[in-house]
Amino acid sequence: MTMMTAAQYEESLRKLDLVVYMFGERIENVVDNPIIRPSMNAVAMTYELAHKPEYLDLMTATSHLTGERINRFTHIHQCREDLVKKSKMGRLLGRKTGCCFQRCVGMDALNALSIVTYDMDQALGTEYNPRFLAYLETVQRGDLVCDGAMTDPKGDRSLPPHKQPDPDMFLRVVEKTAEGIVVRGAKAHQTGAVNSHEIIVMPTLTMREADGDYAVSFALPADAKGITYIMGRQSCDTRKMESGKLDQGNIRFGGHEALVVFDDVFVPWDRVFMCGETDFSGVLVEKFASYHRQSYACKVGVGDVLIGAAQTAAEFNGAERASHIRDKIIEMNQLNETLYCGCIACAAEGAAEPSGTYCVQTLLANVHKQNVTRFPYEISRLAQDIAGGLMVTLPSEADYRSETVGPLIEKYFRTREGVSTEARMRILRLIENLTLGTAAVGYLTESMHGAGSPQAQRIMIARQVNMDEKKRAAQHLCGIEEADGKNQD
Amino acid sequence: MEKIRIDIHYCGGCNPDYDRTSLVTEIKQALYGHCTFDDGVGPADWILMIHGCPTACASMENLPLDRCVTIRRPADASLFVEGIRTDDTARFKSLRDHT
Repeated sequence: MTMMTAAQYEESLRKLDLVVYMFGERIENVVDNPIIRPSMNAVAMTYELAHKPEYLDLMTATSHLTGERINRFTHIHQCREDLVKKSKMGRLLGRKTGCCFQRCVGMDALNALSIVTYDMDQALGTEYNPRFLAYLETVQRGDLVCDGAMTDPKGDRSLPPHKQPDPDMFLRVVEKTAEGIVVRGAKAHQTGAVNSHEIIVMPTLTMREADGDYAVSFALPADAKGITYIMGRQSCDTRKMESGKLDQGNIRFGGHEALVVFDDVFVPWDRVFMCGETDFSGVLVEKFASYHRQSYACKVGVGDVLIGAAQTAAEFNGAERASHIRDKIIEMNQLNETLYCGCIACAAEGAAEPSGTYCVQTLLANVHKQNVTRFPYEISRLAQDIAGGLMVTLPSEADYRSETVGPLIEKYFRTREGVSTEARMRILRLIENLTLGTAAVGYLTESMHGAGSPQAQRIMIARQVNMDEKKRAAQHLCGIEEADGKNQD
Repeated sequence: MEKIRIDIHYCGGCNPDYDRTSLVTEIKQALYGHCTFDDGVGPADWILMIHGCPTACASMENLPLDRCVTIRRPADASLFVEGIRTDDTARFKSLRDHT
């Protein structure tokens, strides 16, 4: 099997024996749980589109290992075009699902490891890269979803891992044997964790020598013994348990995050990709972060949906020709397409690493993600402005279906001729969903903190810009070098 | 008379300016009886590259460029359809320039 269908993906999840808790109870049937199910639907879309002729140019690629056609989410970027297509794929899927489709993080982990395992082997004489490539082939042949797990709970932020009062605040190696390692700790905010076949763990920050036990990277089956998932809550999540769908806004798709706990979990050596090489922990973090900051191309697609919803709401209200409404829609588009510029630019300016893997241009990837921490909020503000207060004061679907008060809602929330009250309710609920409901987790707060909080990008921007060259350009133009008697080119 | 064989290839459709699959349906309807589509029998006479926008980013790797026709907008499809119907392929010569 090289590319699974959406149905095969769903069946493959049913075979996993995950330990998942939500609302204090163990979830026995994860796939059919009404709160989790929409997130599974979103991942399934990455499989569905890969089989459609009109999407396969973006959704698939040719494996550099096997030469076979594979889902792009398991691909190692072989050229700039691959990087550009990754950005476009993100926009496509964001538009198709209106939410986080969860699969990019694993792709980014695979690509980062393809670079860093090679670099480690070259510098240290280790044999991580062949191990990794064997693992990658398993992922590609199985068309697996990988959760890329980086963020540790981190405890007291002023202390390094080895000085934490509780040493488990960062995931670490607690035992090494001839067969493998035993790890303990947790990874927080894990997007799509319970929809994944595999979990790929990476260190969360640059480790110093004293933190060698924390410089660890490995992959495990998602249902490995000792792993527990505790689902995160989302605003308005229990609407998914109601009988009607209308109040969900997005009636089919969603996302999820989980806290993933590793309680003395065994990892065989053939799945270990870093173990104590502290000098390379920072590079792995940086490469993964750069790829993942590019991955926020998906928010452009979600932005497309929100802009479309705002325009629809304006038209339903009969307000679409008002100059201020038109101007706000233009503003939303300008912001959204600026985001698109960033994710395309960092891909188009990407370059080959010694391993042969192409990586995005780090500065531009960070600039892109920094924009993502801001623009979706402004786009959401404008959408709420256009939608009007009804998006948060609207009665429930149950009231709308009620024989007693339903006709009153039908009468008083009707707008222009040809627009049903139900259609108006649906579009307003979608805007609510995207800007303050379950999807706002992905569109807003994930945009803020996912792939690193805003300050992380600002640090990288400061590191990456070539300030000496900027100063030289300025000083050359105003004649400072000439006045100092230096040569000018 | 032997029918003209046409294969359809799409770009990935990240942000299309029009509905690409609907356009292909229209092309098929317009050329009904003249052509077969994606029949898989031997090499196609023409390979229609259906792009959702003027960027035209779909990969043409390993495709015979002399038989590829680039459709960037619905008007390009009209040009192609007329060229096939009138057996005047020069009409869509501009769509075969891949330089």
